[in-house]
Amino acid sequence: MRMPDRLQYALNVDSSILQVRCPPTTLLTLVENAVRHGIDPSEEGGRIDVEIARNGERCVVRVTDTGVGLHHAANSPGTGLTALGERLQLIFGDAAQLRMTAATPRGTAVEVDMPAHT
Amino acid sequence: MNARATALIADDEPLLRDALRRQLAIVWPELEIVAEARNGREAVRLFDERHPDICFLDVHMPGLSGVDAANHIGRRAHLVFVTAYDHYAVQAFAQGALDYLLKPVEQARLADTVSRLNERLQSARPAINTEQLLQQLSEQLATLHRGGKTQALRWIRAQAGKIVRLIPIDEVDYLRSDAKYTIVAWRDGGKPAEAVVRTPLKELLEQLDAEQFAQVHRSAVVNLRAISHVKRHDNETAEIHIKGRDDVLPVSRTRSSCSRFTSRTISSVEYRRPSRRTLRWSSS
Repeated sequence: MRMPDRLQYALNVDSSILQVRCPPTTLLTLVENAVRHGIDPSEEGGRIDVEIARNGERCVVRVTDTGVGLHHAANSPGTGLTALGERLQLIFGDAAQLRMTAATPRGTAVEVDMPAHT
Repeated sequence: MNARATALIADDEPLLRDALRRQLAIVWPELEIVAEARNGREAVRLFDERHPDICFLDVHMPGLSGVDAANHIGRRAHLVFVTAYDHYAVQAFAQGALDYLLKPVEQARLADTVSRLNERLQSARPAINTEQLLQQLSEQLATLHRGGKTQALRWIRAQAGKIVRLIPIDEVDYLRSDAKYTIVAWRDGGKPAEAVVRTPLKELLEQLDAEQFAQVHRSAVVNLRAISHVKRHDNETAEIHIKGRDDVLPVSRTRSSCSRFTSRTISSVEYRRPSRRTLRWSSS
């Protein structure tokens, strides 16, 4: 790993959801962003939590980091998240949502909420 | 200098720190790595503690970058930037870096760097002068930061090789910023001369007498007494010709109100804050 001393991570995945179809590179984009914009600019590093859960007929993918947070980045989402949002829109229409919020006490949480199609 | 040369390695990726340390052990076994830093802040702290002869600095580091750390270290150590991006090269050399290594670092290339470093260490540039210079500059900075009006600057200390020159401010024709440096064009016994100082133009400007010096461009400050004539362009810009020099300074549009001095007595004009309103040039 590139920064073993600065990055911890944990996966929390609902096993019943492994069959759900997910657009390629969705999770990669979210985790890559968490590393690049959250953990990498932070001197002390941080932790990335990946949570994938079923919520009725919906699948929620949530990537939370304890990095430098939103105020360090540009206010509008960058290329990666914008492209991901557009792809979700093309695939699911208005049935999918992409949300980015500030995590507490610090860091960023990004959530993809989409229909749990198998 | 018979003592072993010492070095600091700064990189936020432990694997790359180890790799560089291993490569250095092969091409320069005598070199002693006295410190390893994980970010710019650590690099600065460890530099201040250990005073290594050489600093290998990664450019991209969290918090304080390698360039920031280099700014702090200045010429007190030989700097080598190590980075994955080659577009930092220019900045690295502006920072006074001895060399610039691209990741992944090749052994042969590193050996080349090492021989340059050895050469430099043997020629043993006097560290005392530069220390003094830095001290003086930081004192100037401190005075500035204490706020309030300081005495207008009377001398500029410029370093040329191993010599520190004191340039009387009255003999300065103009100042131009050049990346991290400021070029001081002055009269050495009447002859046009140039020197380079590390103080940014903006910082020097704050210390200059506004009656005598005017900022005519983002990157140029001119001694009004050194102006031979001003040539006007159609697009509200102009150029300033300096007495006894071929040099021409640009006048930017926003500052072209400075050009008032063509038609008035120099001392009667307020130059410090040129009005935003564009003044038409008049022949009267």
